[in-house]
Amino acid sequence: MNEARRDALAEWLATSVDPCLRDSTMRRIGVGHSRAMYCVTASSGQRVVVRVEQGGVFGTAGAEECRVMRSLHAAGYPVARILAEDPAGDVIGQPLFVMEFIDGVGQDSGTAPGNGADERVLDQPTAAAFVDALARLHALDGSDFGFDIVPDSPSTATAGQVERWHQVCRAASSGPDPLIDEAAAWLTHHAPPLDRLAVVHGDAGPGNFVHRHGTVAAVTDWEFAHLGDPAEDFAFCLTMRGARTMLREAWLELFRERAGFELSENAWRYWEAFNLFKGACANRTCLDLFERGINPAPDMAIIGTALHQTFLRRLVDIVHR
Amino acid sequence: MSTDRPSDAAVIAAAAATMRESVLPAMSGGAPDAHTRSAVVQLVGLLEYASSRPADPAARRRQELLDALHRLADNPLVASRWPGEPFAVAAAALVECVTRDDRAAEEVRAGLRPVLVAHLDDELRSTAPLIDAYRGRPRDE
Repeated sequence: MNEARRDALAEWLATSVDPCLRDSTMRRIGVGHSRAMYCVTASSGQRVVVRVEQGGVFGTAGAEECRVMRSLHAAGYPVARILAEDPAGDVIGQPLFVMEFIDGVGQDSGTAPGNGADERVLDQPTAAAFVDALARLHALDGSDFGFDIVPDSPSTATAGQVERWHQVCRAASSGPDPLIDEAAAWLTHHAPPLDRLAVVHGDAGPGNFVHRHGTVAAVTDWEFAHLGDPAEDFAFCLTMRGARTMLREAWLELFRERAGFELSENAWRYWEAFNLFKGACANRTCLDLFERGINPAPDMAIIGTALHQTFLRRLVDIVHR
Repeated sequence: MSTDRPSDAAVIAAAAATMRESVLPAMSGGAPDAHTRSAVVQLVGLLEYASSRPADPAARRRQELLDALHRLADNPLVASRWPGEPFAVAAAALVECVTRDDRAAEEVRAGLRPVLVAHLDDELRSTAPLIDAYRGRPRDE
């Protein structure tokens, strides 16, 4: 962020959040891609986190994320409190919101679903606490949380999400991609039945929550949250974010013991495919933004090519099995 | 052939080499934040990819798909959509096959999937080194 924007942001923070933030230092935290995250520290020691959109990466919007986080906080769920918001991008040219700083381990955030590269090491109590938090999330009634998409009924939710991501991918592509189109049709045709809509995080797992002393201080990175099937989150943690954290069997045991959640092998495969599809479609937006000069950061070109293709290849392996 | 100006390839190679040999070592003292270092590593990876990737395969791939569709000219799932843009015809045919297990659907899957997957694998071979760069690991680390 250049000096003029830093000054504008500091002035806005001073008037919108706390006057002490006028005299502050700003440090980028994490190596996120969809959102830039800055920790702003006032001379008084007060800290806040500013989360800034990056030109529409992954086809998600900060305004919805902000609404959902406010609702979750009001429901008593462990999530950072929203302090201020600039959804129009008037302050520094990109929509942003400000939240309280949560002290703990795991502030790295902002990667695309499953893109994270770091080893995400958790001890057993922390992993168990995370699964508890996930189960609590899924038990919430999120119908009035401010989601952009509210399915007519649970039975249409998964197909609706497939269509959502397919649209995101199509809008970012120059022409049809037969492998993506076939996968979308396969996921729609094989969507498991769902009885009740749950609040789904959409990018759940190690790296997207802050923890300390074996407890979850806050679940972070809500840009992919939506109403849908809890299986999506468990599968995302199992096969993507948490795949290197511990063995598959250890996760499955935690899911069973802490959340009472089990699936057949076929169902796990379906949800792995669903998450790969979502990731492939979201990643495709980065190449479009890079090509149009909206976001010229080099990671945009890499996510939009190598990562998109890697996800698509794994997806094809499941769909063509 | 001699020329009066540096080629794009040479400029890209110079940029990558300068970033790799001069900028990155100067950043190794811990002064820059993690994001800045990651961005430089990713830029180096992207420049090296741009200077080493094969020629644009779009026309060849389109022709290969066209050939595969021609081989399926008598298949009703293809014939009903022909003539058309090859990728659109292939996509529509494969989508229709998802709910079908008959011989025509099997023929389409067997005729089109290997061509499309080979294109994807071909592309992955040239982009795979970018994954290390994405994770902040320069090629020689």
